[in-house]
Amino acid sequence: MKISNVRLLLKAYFSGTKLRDIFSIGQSSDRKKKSSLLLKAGKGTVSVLLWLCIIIGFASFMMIFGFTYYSVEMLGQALGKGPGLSIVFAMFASTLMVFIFGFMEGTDILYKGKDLGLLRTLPVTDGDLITSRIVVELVNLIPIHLVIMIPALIVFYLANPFSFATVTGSLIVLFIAPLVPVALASMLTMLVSRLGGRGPGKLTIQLIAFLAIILLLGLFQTGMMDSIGSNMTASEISSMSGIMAFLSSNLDQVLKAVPTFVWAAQSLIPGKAVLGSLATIAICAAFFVLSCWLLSRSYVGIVCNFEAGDARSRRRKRRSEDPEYRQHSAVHALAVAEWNIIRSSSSFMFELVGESVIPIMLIVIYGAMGMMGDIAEGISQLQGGSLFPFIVFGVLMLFEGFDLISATSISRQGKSFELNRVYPVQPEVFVKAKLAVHLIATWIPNIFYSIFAVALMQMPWWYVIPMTAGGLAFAVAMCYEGLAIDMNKPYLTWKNPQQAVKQNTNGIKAMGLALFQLLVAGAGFYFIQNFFGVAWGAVWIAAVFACMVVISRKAVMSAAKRTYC
Amino acid sequence: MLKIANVTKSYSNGAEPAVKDLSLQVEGGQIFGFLGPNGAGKSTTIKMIVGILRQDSGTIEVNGLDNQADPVGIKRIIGYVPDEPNLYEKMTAVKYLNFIADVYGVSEELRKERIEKYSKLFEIDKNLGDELSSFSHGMKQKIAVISACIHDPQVIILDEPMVGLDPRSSFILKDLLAKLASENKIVFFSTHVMEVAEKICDRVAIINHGKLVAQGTIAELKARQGEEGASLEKLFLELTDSGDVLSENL
Repeated sequence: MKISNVRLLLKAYFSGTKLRDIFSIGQSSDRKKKSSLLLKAGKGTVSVLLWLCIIIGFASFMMIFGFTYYSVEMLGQALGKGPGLSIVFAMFASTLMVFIFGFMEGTDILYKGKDLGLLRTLPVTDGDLITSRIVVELVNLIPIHLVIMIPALIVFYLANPFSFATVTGSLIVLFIAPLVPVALASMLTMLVSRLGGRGPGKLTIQLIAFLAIILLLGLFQTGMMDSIGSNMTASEISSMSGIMAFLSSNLDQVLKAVPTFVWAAQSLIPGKAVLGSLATIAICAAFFVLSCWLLSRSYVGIVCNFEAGDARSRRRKRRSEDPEYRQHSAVHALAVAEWNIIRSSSSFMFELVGESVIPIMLIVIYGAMGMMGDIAEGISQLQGGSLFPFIVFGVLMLFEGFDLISATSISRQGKSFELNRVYPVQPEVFVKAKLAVHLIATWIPNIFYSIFAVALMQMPWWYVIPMTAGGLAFAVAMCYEGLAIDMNKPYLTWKNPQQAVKQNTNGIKAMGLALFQLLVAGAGFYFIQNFFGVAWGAVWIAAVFACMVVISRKAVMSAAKRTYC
Repeated sequence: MLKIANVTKSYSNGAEPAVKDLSLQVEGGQIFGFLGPNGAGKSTTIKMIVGILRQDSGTIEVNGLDNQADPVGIKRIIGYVPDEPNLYEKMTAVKYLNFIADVYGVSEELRKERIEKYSKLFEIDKNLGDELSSFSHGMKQKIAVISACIHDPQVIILDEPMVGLDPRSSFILKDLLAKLASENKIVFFSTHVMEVAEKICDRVAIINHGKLVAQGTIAELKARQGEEGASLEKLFLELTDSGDVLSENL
């Protein structure tokens, strides 16, 4: 492997990705010139507002993490285990998340880049190529790691004296430590890609593996809690206080089980920093080199299988079928085309499946962080109160709002989007087709979650009706808003499919906007029900959702006219 | 009739307009060749006609329909073959053709008849059930041509249609274009291949740096050179300033 080659490959990969283009809001390509000054000023305000929503959203998550880490850090110090327990805790959570997301994106980054065909003809080795791709994966996943780790570092700074080791250790923890989960995710991606072989169900196998990981983590959590809980009550075993109690007597064993996280934490502590830093760097380097070596050995084979395998087996399978010529509406045809685009990439597919199982993933993550018991306790206190159904509804809407399906819909089409402008179809037909796909992807899971929540929380069955009706209105508004944002500035020039979804800030903007609207609806509801009762609060929510649908429809229709005509 | 009048188009990042004050007229029943060197503005012009881009000024009319006033109406009567067939890779060929037929509202009987006819013509009928991701560039180009013809358009616009096609398929396509023109349809295509233009075009236009530099029948253009053995290629090189550069650099 030549470092200079890897550097060149990375430079080439990132050269086309201008942050200014991604992180701005504006008109696409040739329609730019027609924007009036007023429109530009309006877009500037919208851009600032959207970014404000995103920052508030991320800041709230980071604050929640921060409070948890603070309790852990204090516990560590109270037990005389010294500083850094919050870092160990955060490293565990981050490793979990980076590993899951790394596996979700792995195939597209490592094996399916549009530039790979060209790169493979250049005089670079498979090792050079795969090393550059693993670094690309690391760069893509670093933001997730930072969101989880930065609150822990802030807690560490607040609770401990500042030193030179804190700075060097922070850099190691932030930028080198995530190499381990990235390497593990890459190796699992390789394994699953090899398992898929040349069969037609490679994507299915990847999806099964992804769901299996979630399930395994859930089982691991349950198993861990079971083993902890032999001398604890049921509520203690899953709550933060329960975990604290467990840690106070078993901390040494727990820390022995996760030495890499302990070394990472020690890299921030004066006196232990040198050894901790060296050990962390060594283990990260070892995992990185191992993954590069393993992946390079099977690289060409897997890439070739991805290029040819599916097509070959599909060709054999379909040849015997008689072609069908049934006529459908344009909406149906465009919705099917949208589905085919989603199916064309594992990143797109994972996005769809991932968003549908967000509640399950959150339960696993909160469980791992010891927050489920506290949540359950909170629920039991609120249950039966008049506000409780609205809180449940709010949580369900929050899950529904975590959605990139529509906000990356145009971007996902990439270069093939251009042909949409040739079709003799009114702009609203495109919007209807995308709405259909959005509702299938988000509203149908919402119906299931609403039924499940009503049954689990022992609420009257008919609560499902207003909940799913509200869910429908919110899903429609989310779809329109997401489409309007993406139509305004689609990211069509991606090289890897995951760039169209994960690195596309249109998705984050749409989620920020959803969060902002939920905050407005929730705050207004709280205020109104306080003075006029719950019924008027419900009317307020219905009014806000109706306004969202009407306004977002206007926005999307106007954007669609500019986009398609 | 396809009528382009004083059309200008600039890109936001370009200093020079890609197309400058372009005017053209193409009658039904004609095969019209649109020639020019790389970056001359051919694809930009074509993209404006089919609705992918919008002109900054000037008008484009197809059979009396204005592309700004009735963009959907104009798209209904045009069939377009892009320079790069970016098709939905996860669809089978027949599903893709059905998708296009649905978008254009082609009935079940007509689409069946046309898909069968054109797929046999291009010798791709055995591959209709295959996924497009397994197709070569040339096979995808054939599917793009079939999809452009599936709604029996009054105007067919092709951007470098011969690229990627084998000689046999090129021959079939040329025959098809001649047949479409004989049905009083407009056939408008861009090409770099002078022999093709010379052989099948009734009229040609040469564009350079976004400006129209010559227009007429092949005979008229040859006559402009006024010398024996005049060829379209020689005229093209002269009009696009390539002749001198070539002889100087060789």
